[in-house]
Amino acid sequence: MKVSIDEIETKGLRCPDSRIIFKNRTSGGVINLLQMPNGTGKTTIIQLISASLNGDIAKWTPKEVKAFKIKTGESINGEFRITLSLETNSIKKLTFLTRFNFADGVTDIYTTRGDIGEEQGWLPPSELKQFFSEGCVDVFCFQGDKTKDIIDESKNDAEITIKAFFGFNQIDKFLEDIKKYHRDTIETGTPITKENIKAKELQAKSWEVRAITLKEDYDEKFLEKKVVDKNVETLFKSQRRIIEALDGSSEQELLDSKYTSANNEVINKSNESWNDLKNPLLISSDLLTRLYVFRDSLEKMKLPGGSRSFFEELIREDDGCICGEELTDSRIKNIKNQIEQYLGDDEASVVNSIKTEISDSYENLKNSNSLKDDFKALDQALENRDEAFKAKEDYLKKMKELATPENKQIFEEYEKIVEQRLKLENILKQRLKDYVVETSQLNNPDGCKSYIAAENVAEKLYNEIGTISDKQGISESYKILKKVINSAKHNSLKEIKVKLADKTNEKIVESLPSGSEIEVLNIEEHVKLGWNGTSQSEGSGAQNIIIAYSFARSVLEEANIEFPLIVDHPFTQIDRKNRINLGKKLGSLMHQFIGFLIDTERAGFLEGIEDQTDVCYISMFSSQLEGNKSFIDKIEALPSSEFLKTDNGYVTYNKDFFIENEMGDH
Amino acid sequence: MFRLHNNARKWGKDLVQGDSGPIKIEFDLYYIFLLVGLGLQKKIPLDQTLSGEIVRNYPKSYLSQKYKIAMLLLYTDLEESGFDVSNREIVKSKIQETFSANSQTHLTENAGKLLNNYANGGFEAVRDKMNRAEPDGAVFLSIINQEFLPDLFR
Repeated sequence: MKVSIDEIETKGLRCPDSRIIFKNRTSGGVINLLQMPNGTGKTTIIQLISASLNGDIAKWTPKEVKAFKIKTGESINGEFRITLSLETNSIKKLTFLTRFNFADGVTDIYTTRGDIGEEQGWLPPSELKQFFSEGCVDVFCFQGDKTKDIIDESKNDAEITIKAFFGFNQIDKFLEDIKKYHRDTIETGTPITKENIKAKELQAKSWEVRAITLKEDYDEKFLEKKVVDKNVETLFKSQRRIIEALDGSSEQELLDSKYTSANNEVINKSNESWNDLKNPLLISSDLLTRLYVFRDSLEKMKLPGGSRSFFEELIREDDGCICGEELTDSRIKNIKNQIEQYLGDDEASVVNSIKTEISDSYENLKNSNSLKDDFKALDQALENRDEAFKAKEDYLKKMKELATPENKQIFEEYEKIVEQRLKLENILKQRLKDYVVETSQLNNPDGCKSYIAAENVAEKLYNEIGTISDKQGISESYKILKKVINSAKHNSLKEIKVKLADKTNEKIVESLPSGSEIEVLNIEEHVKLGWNGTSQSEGSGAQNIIIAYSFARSVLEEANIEFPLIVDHPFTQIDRKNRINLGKKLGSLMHQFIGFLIDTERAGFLEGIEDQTDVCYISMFSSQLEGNKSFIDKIEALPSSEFLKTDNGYVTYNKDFFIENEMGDH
Repeated sequence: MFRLHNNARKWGKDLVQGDSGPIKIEFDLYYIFLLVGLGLQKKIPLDQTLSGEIVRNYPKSYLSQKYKIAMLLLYTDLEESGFDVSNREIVKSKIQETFSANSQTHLTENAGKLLNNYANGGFEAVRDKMNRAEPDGAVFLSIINQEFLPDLFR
């Protein structure tokens, strides 16, 4: 199925009232570029699109709803409508309309599906419901720094996406259901032993409650972190703008990129050192030589002796000696004394393997200096990173000193919010830690800080209760079923990840200039990048974008569905040359591209898309802001059929207007 | 089978849980302590009540090292005990005490305990040089290299 956005309409919201029609066609790609001055409501529109598609808009809190109210004016109502085309054999329309009541902070959603009239509620067609979820919508609706989230080692966005697209969330829900059934059934069981089943039930319950409490705390902190992440991003951008205004150059960008590449080098070198250190025979060539001599000495000692089992068998069978003589007691005693000097088969097999290993290592590694070289390179990389870090910090300090008191506060707020994010990350990590609680701690659920570990204990205790009650059969079936489902889930997830990594790499090759040394090494919870087996934490700005788009396309292709690609600031972190390159290829990436562009991204990109046949140039701005006066004068000079004027804004699809008027900061 | 002193686990918590660097699981830490303990021939008996099992068998990424680790344990302990490594009787009896083909680690239960004692000795040696574990894995490895590697297995 192919899903496209036909149009959106806004009224009484934190962006100009407008109706924007996006271009689409049945075959080939279309690029829709929407330019709006900063602060006009780009982020608002993307948030509205995303929340309408994943249904979040129906769950917003009063505070969140009120945040969308128009800044000026007394209106207490607002509206957002999004209309989609769903194309299979025929084209059907789907519309979500959200009515905002800002006085009470509530939203009412209405859905119109094909010929069925308007119905109250967020009701996507059943065939799309799976894809209209947070994990899925995030793949094609890129808000903020989403392109980096997929490759960020500390985030699990890639896995969340895969799980959402390929039905793993439904499997988890099913596992939850059978777990609940199992526990409910166990509680109705009667003990079949004298063990104190009641005490165990109470213990299991207390761990179950602890797991739920910790999970709730995790969910709460997870949401809190999302808000903090956004604040970090906003403050980072504000800080960068202040620096650019002060310094007028992009030195911070350069210093950041130097630090990133120095840090990547540290990661690579520490991985290389660690891989070599994992072979203890590389630590010292003296040791290797001594072990080799020891190996020789084992050979000379005839340890192990291979014939011990032969003689043991001979005695056991009691069928005469190999020399033809009878095996008398004294002969048997003599043989036993002799074979006692040799190793048994068990030890012998280990010793033989060890001997082979030492021989091989000696031949291959006797002249190796690789560990020393690795550590030398690591020390150099650490030194370079320290220097890059210091240069970055000194620069920031200098800029902070030059800033006005008001702007200094932005620097300080940024430092504080980064610290807050770190604290939250640590708590989240603690909540997710998968470990086995020690027996001595079983009476202390409050001491456990991980919902996974607490859930493990509860599960173990319920299983134990099951085995000592008359519900033993249910308990055993549950264990087998859970094992089978988990194993199938684990294997499928692994296979899909491998497939998606390959597919993403194919697309990266298609889109990046030849000779680009970057690829997806594998997909864990994040997309792991590198080249020739050596990992790196991220690529250049252009590479990160191509990787994110390629991953998104691969997921959609594998799930057999097409969505438009919606991107806020698609080209901010890319240089001019790469913008031209991306612009040329953009039309072939998705059937419908919707990019929210600002002035600083135009250079290069507009040249790149010049040859594209289907580009829709949309300009939108508020008529209420003094800074937009020049745009108003120019748009009013156009024929009236060329623009739409609303109570507080303008929209035009005029290409020349788009090209001639750059919209960014006022 | 693989156990670490509770103090060692607490000491290395930030390093293992940290984002950066290759030290990602507790066994990575155990392995470093073990190398240091074996390399310096330093073993300290591990109190079972003050320690916890970090993992029963070798994690996947260490399976290929199991013979080398078994060999190092045998050889180091022979040397540390002052035995003649070319004495057939002594070597044979030590092999029987140490190796078992029936366990995933190829070590007997007692050899497993001995291995833990060396790891514990290694931990104390590392802690003598580092009051708290350096949370950045790359820096930590660099310190281990500078402070220990040249002196190991001399």
